[in-house]
Amino acid sequence: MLQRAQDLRTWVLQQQKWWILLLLVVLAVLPLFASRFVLHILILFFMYVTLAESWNLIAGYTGKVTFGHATFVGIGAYTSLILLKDYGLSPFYTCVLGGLLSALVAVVVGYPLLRLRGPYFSVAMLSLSFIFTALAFNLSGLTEGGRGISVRPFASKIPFYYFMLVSAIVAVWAIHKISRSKFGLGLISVREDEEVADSLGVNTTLYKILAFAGSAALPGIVGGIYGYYMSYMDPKSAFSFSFTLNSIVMCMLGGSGTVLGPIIGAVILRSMSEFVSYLIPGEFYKLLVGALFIGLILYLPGGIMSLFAGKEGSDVFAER
Amino acid sequence: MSLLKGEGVCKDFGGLRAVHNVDFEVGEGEIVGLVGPNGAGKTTLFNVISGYYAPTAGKVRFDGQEIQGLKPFQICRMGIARTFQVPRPLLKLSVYTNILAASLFGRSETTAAVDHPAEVERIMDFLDLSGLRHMPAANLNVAQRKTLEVGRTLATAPKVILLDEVVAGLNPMETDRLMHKVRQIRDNGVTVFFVEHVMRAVMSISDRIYVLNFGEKIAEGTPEEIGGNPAVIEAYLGSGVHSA
Repeated sequence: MLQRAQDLRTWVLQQQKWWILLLLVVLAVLPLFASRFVLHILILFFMYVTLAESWNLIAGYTGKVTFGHATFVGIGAYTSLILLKDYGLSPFYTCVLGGLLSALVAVVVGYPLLRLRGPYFSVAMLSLSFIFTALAFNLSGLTEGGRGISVRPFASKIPFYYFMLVSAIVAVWAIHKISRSKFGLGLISVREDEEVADSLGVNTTLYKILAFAGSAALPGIVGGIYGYYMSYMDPKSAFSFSFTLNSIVMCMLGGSGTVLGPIIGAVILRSMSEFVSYLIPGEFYKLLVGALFIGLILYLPGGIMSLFAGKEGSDVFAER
Repeated sequence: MSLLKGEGVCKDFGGLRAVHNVDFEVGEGEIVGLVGPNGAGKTTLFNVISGYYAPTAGKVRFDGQEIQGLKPFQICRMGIARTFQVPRPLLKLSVYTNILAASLFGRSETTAAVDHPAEVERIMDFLDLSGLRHMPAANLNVAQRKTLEVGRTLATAPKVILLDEVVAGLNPMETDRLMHKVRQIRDNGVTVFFVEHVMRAVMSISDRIYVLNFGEKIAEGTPEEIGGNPAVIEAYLGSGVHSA
């Protein structure tokens, strides 16, 4: 089993450039053929790949597990919709601004809070998402409160498809590059032992903040696209905990701290979501995801990618 | 001029005075031992030097420059690298990558371009770690972990290394091997300041020794002077014993 897994890995590595190119071509021309339903599924899939990869950066690579990832989706969604509706800015700019604002919020709250270790940081981030939900309810002059904010929907799904596709590609590409860079090694050192990283010369405060800002910018961007795609956002849907939960489960299911893990996790979870909800309507899907996650933590804490890691672990720096 | 110098270093934890008014000097190219019973403040002093604690009072100078209050990563980049008493390798990373991280991050930013992989190879060769290059650090035994700690300090291109009980828990053969390496490290121009309980090791390689007890310096001198010092014998064995 393990031997075959390794052979498969070697083979995939040899062929990967061509497969990636083929995949990108297929994804690029797909809207010419695909139905609106398929496009919708893929738009959400790309969004979740981006969310899971961005959670991966701060939690999987840097070891700062956050339960507040939805905060940045919400910030992106609201930024985008407010700027679209009240100022008539082009969605392209509103999404980028949403990403920048998310990163800025991450820097401001990260500076004091990233010092927290273990569950304290996680819970502080969860509280942050509650705070922002409350802000969205209460700043009704800006957000229209609990009524929510709506914009005129855009008829075609195709632009959203490409926006989300590009976001997902950027996210995966960025994580791939970071995971093999000096910056990435610094983040991994922080994850493995923050004090040791410090003693080895890593500016841990700076690295944690940069990673957190990066991991907040991506949800800020896709949150903006998502908000316009839905053409409506209220505080509950914009800051929904399901964004956080899905990011975490997808990332851990595939394997956090790996580039491919979150993609694998997103494929499995999104397919399950569609198929299971189709076969058995209602909340059964959530039950299944919950059970799957518990089983995963018990029996395969490293996620699916850990099956392919081999005996030398997942250290990409020594392979060269 | 001494390379590393402490002037009246104090460190309190609440009401506990862990290090009290300690002066020390480590000259360039020396091997200086720091000994004392458990709880004497040795590791606390190392934590002050390496930036983990700011001293409650006193100064630490490196190359004449005050360094107390700087962050550990800044102190490391200036040229003071440390090991941890209980080895703390980056567990999921290989031996190679552990040392690579130290080489990439631990050097002064002003130095010329370094061939990091070559440096890592050189250090692994020197410490006989080459055969373990791909081994995740989690799989290493104690002796290998302690050696890796030393390897990481060397990769930061240090002027001084602070070794915190690097041979504690090793068998006599491993101890001799590592002590021999420490002497070679010094001969290559790196100053060594080390905490050690294994007296055989301390006595055999130290040029000078400081003795701490209850946070205060009670003696300093060559190994011969320390071995015959009544205050030291009392600290270790209790009073009345040395009269026998």
